[in-house]
Amino acid sequence: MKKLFYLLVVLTMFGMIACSEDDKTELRWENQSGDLTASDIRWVPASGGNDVEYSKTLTADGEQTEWKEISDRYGSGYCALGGAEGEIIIDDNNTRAISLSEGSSETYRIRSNTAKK
Amino acid sequence: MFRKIGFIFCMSLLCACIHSSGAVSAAPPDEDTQQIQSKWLKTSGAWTIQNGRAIETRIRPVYWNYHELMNFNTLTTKDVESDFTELTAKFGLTNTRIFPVEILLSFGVRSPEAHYYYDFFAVKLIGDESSITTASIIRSQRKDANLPLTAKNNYVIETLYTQDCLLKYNEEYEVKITKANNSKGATITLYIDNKRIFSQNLPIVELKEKGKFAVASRGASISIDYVTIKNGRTTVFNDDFSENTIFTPTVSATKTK
Repeated sequence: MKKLFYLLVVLTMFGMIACSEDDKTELRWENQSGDLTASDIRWVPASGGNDVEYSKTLTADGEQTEWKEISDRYGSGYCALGGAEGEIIIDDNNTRAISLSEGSSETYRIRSNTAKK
Repeated sequence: MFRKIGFIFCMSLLCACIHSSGAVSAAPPDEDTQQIQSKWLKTSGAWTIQNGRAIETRIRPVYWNYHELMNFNTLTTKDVESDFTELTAKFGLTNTRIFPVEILLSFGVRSPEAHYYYDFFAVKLIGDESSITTASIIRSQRKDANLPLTAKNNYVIETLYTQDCLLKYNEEYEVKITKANNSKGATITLYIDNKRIFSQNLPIVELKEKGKFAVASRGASISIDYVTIKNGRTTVFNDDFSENTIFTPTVSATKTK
């Protein structure tokens, strides 16, 4: 009986860990155009919390950043463009505001605009 | 008579055709036109035009560490590069959230390429939870020109002069900075609402070099209006923000399915 109890506790713990991992929200970025060099891509939470920084610079078409876990699901994406801050504007709503679905793994494809300097 | 009527009719028809074709072919301003009309580059931050003023609303900075202006929320003049003798603007600070509150009114802003503004001078205002308490003159310089532009923290900030200066939040002020060049450098004078705060002679020859201008803030929301920059009798720049004169670098994104 005791063994069965302990087994249930262990199984429950594993189950809780597995469920919490499934609830993780992740975000990455993908370069959709060969003429864009986006470095230092960041997720800046609307709440004012800590930024999430991506280490990979995207230079080639199809290149992707690493996955990053996002705790503040409402925010905006920015990247460095030649010493100025580039806003990542979402095509669907033409704003920089992004709302990530809880527990999702989302990829946003970015491409350069004609307006640069 | 009928010939005259016919002639007049045909000419009227012809004129109508010309007018309508012109209207059809007229195109709305495109992005290139908008770029030409822009006076400022949004170097960083969240800037909008509201009620004829430029207002920064992000308040918190993002520390990119490529150059100091990018670590603030900054507007930089897009095309104007000039020496100057007088810079005036109206400004106010609200929504103070992060301390110290810091404001830069920058001049002589230069970059070796693109927007890497390593080198500039600025009048810097610093405040605590109660008010602006200090006015300074600072200088930013690139540390090592051999490092690539993407190297971080490759700049040094030096305070050249500092002075007590009390300014309240939630009030509008008129700021005037004058620069009088001399053989060794220049004298920088700061006025707030026509009251002289300081006048400091700095023997730095680079003060006489032309450059862009920038307004930067962090820790509070700043509103800016009536920016006028003169070089002697010539007005080299002015903006009353009656229209959107800010160009924002952007990239587009689509969520993958």
